[in-house]
Formats: sequence, structure tokens, C-alpha cells
Amino acid sequence: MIEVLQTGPLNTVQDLGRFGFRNAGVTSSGAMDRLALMVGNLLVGNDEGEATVEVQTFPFRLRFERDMTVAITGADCDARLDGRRLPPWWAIPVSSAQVLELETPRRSARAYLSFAGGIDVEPVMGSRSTSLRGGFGGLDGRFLAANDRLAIGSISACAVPQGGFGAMPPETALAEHFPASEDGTLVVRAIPAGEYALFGAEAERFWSQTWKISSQSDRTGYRLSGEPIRLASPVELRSHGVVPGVVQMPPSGEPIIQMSDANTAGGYPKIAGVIDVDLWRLGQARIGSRIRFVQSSVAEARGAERAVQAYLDDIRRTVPILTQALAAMSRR
Amino acid sequence: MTKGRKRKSGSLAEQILDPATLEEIALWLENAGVASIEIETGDGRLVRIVAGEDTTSHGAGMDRLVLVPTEPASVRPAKAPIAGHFLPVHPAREAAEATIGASVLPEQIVGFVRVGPLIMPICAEEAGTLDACTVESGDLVGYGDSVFLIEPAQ
Repeated sequence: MIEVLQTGPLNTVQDLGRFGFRNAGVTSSGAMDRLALMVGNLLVGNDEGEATVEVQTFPFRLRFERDMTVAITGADCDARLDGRRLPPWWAIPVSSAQVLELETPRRSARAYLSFAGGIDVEPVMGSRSTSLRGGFGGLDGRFLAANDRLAIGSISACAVPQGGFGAMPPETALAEHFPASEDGTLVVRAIPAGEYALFGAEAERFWSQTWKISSQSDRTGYRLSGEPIRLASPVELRSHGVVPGVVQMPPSGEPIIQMSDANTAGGYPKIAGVIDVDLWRLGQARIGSRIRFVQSSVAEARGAERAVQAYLDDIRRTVPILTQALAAMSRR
Repeated sequence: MTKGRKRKSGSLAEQILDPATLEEIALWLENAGVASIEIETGDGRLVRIVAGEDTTSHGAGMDRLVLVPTEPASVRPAKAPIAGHFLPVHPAREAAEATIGASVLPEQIVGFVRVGPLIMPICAEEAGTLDACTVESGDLVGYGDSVFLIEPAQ
């Protein structure tokens, strides 16, 4: 078990999400930064999709109630284990009664805590992700509070070395496969969507201007602020299916990017869709930060997906090789 | 020293510097196809013996051995935990975990070694002052290579 000692609101149990029930109005939920979740799980010897704690409000403190192994990935929140500093993207064995503390990150938005064995909450419709709107999944369908206790599954062998080890952060390892930030502006790749043509010449400003992530942004969606983009003439659309990454244009002319807790249906015209492989970077973008859209293609998106998959495969393959090599050397 | 052989008096370092011993070590190196060995003495001093490049000379001897000066006994190394590429700063951070001249605590991370997609910590073994870094960023380091020198706290 682990016990939450201190937490802000909106920190939840998340895995990769709940799929196959959108037709019944069930949002997919799941981690905002799926890549950080997968890397954390691989470092502690889990399958990549085990349930983790997504921390997006800080400070966050927890106490381990037995010996186990934990990984901290995603935003660098200057993690401390009993006061000892840990690097980001790090896995380490911990002892019963030790306390882990996460501070507000200076860059990026969300940290993920993966535990060897995974968080053992009851799956709902095939997922342990918390659906705050539905009030199910995760821990009783709600966000974590102080004194909450979470059960951790058992795992046969986890050979993380005593001083811990880490993964190369994806920002570094995959740098050549993602557009670089420009003066702190996150460059996000997108593909024109269904109603793009309705915006005519106005659409050009969707790509050319820098948008600010407004304070009305959360796991459901990011509302962007900037110079409005308006339709040549208003259109009324029937409600249609919506998925994370869809960029809608409400009458205000300021776009909404649907995120992990995306509505399952909506009626606003869709100007673009953020490519799936870029959503984790958006998931780490902070309120008040700036983004710019750059036009992408299916081929480019698939290329980036292959690079991400190769990075994950490399970690999955190298973790046991490294831990075995270290074990062999420590016996010498 | 070969088992059963009578031990000479004096420190281990003095024993190794004895010409007869050096000749014997040179033979071992040659027979094993090994270029160098590093011997750590009880007081923490390291003696590294490197076979010379002149492999055409007859038999093994002093002329083929080079004694490499090592760190003074008072300075302790922080060693690479595994072979890989040295990272002085974590790739997701802007500053090193400890800077030269800073005080370090036992088990404190002072640098990293990259092994493919993974990162291993280089840790201080005891409390002291981080004295020097002996390799360049990105250099390939071997298991047990000294990467930092630490002046132990008195």
C-alpha cells in the first residue's frame, strides 16, 4: 500500500485509457502524457500500460507502506525520497515508511508515479483510469485526497539497482523526430480536419499565429486564446463523434483542443486534428504557455510513431540486460 | 602473489615495485593477452601497471612495464558503475547534480553514465569535496573507471 500524505486537487489514477465505449458516451480518459506513463512502467518492470498516479497539482507527498520500487517520469518536480534528491525519469527501490515528495515543476505540467506491480484498483470497462465526469474508475471515481491509501500489485522480480537508474527523456532521445520549440513556443503538428475548407482564407491564421493556453484548460480540453478565426458564414452541424486531439472552432473563434477527457460528441466545426503522437507534448504544456500549429501529414505522423515505438522497445529490451549486468558485477 | 610463496616485507606497493615481481606480472600480462592491470592496495592507493609497446624484446622484463602515477592516497574516485557514455548533467536538467568544489554526501549522485536508452548514476562513496572531473562529456568510460575525484571530509 501507499498512503497519500498531501495532495492538491485533480490528481488521479490513470492508465492508457478506456476504449470501446465511446458509443455509449464513455470518454477514454487515460494519462495526458502517455509516453511518460509507459516509460515509468517499463523502468519498474511493468507492462507499459499499468495504472499510475498522474500528479498535476503540487506539492504531492506519499508514504510507502512496504518495500517496493517506484518510478517518477514526466515533469521534473525535484522529487525527494526522505529528503534525498532524485533525478527526473528515475526508478528506485524504496523502503517501507520512506516518504516521496514532489514539488511544483518549473517546466512541464504533469508527473507520473509508476509502482512495480501497478496500482491495484478495480478495472471498470477494461481500464483503471479515473473518469471524473463519470465518477467511476481509479479510486472510487474521484481525485486523490490526503489519507487515501492505494493498493499496489505484487510483481515477482524487479531488479532495479539500489541507487536507482533512469531513462533518457523522450525530449532528448527523440529530439530529431519532434519539432523544436521556438522561443519557448511549443510547436504542435496537426492535419486539417473535416470543416477546414469552411474557414477559407481565415484558416491561414490558424497556423501562422501563436496561441496561448488559457486558464480555462484542463484534462477535458485546452481553450486557446489569440486573434479569433471566424467562419465566412455560420454553419450548423449535427453533433458528431469527437476524439482527443480534435481542434474545434466555437463561434468565439478561439480554438479548443480536445484532450484525454474529451467529450465523446460535439457540434463545433473541426478545423484540424493534432496528430496522436504529439498529444503527450501538449499534455505537458502549462496553462499560460504558448503553442503554434504546424501542418503535418499522415506519413510524418506515422514516422514519428515508429520512432516512439522504437524508443519504447529499446527501453523494454535494455532494462533486463542492464539489471542482469549490474547483478553479475556486484557478485564479483 | 602466487599462493604459497613467501611474502616479502614492506607495503604491497613496495612489493609490486620489486623487479622480480614486476617481471612475473609482465609474464602474466603477456600470457593472458592483457594490456594493463590496476591494483588497489589496502590504504586505497591505486597502482596501475601497463605493458610497454615493445613486444619484440626477448622475454618479459622491466623495460616493458610502465608504472602509471595514480591519485594521491587522500583523494577518492567516484567510479563509473557500468560501461557507457559520461553525462555530466542529466539531459532533462540545466545544472549538474553537484559542481566542482561542492560538498557531497555518501551515495549522492554526482554524474551519470548513458547506456543506450538508460541512465546509471555515478555516486560519491563517502562525504567530501568534489575535486575534479577526469573525463569529458560524452566520453566512453569503462566499468570502475574513475570519473570524479573526491577529497574526503576530515
